[in-house]
Amino acid sequence: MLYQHRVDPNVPIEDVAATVGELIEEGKVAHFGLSEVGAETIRRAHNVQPVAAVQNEYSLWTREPEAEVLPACSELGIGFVPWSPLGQGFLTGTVNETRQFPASDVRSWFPRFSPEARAANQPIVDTVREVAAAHNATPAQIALAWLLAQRPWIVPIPGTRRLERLQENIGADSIELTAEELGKLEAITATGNVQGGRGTGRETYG
Amino acid sequence: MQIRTLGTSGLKVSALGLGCMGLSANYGEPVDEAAGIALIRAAVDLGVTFFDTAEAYGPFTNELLVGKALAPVREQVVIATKFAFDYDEAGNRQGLNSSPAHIRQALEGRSVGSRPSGSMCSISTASTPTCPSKTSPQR
Repeated sequence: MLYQHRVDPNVPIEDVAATVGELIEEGKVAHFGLSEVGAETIRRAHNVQPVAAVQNEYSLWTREPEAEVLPACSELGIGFVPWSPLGQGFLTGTVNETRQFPASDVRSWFPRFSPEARAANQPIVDTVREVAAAHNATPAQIALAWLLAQRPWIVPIPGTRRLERLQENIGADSIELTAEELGKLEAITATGNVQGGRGTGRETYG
Repeated sequence: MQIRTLGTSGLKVSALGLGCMGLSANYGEPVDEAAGIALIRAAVDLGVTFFDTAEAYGPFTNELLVGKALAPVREQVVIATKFAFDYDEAGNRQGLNSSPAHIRQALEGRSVGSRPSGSMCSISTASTPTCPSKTSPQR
């Protein structure tokens, strides 16, 4: 699958879609994807070349796709791939206020990882932990199970460098959250309850 | 692991994919190649069939790592990669460039000798890259 990683304001999305369409015709690519896009761009691209998947940031602490992007994907039959489904690690509960990151780690300067934002957002992790305890699961597994519960065509792509974390993440596949648990998680992460801009703090949909 | 279908595309993948970016970029120094390959192949053994990379991760090095790790099982997995940016000869990211010619270049690779190819068509056979490491975000 070939995604456009970020929208180029100087190139109409129709031209991008047509180009990937040609590459599909030539057998060089199997599917077309878009990343960090809004609903209007998705519609325009999909008109020219069917979009298989949209990859935007989506997790318990980044719920922007719910407003317009997920409804558009649902209407058009497009899959959705959440990036940073564990909130750059914050939702695993392993990033407390004192953890330090080297300069080569983007969390050393991402606004949501300032000490103030970590403290302000800690109640999110506390709630995820509570739900995790009821399932004898880890916070990461609950964060992923929540995403899987949103739509049947959502496929999160958590990253890790460690085998035990990989195994842990995959374990989320067998967790079923109750309606009450989903409601509890959604209440604590409703838009406005999260401090600090997502990612670099300058993220916008193209 | 359960299988999911991405919309009406018919593309079926494991319910959880593996984001490979952090093996090469943004979360500290890159892992060594052997460790990265071992992690990706462990995911295959655990039933993961969907692997995410991008030209921008490294840049270039993550595509090469993913391609090398998955070459033995290439027909059994789905690899997703991404284009968007221009790079200078030293591998430093320039601006956005989604012109049709640049999309083709990102997919098919540059002329031999200028820098490692970003091509999905050649990542499984490319040699070890020599790009400088980057500290700016590469997502």
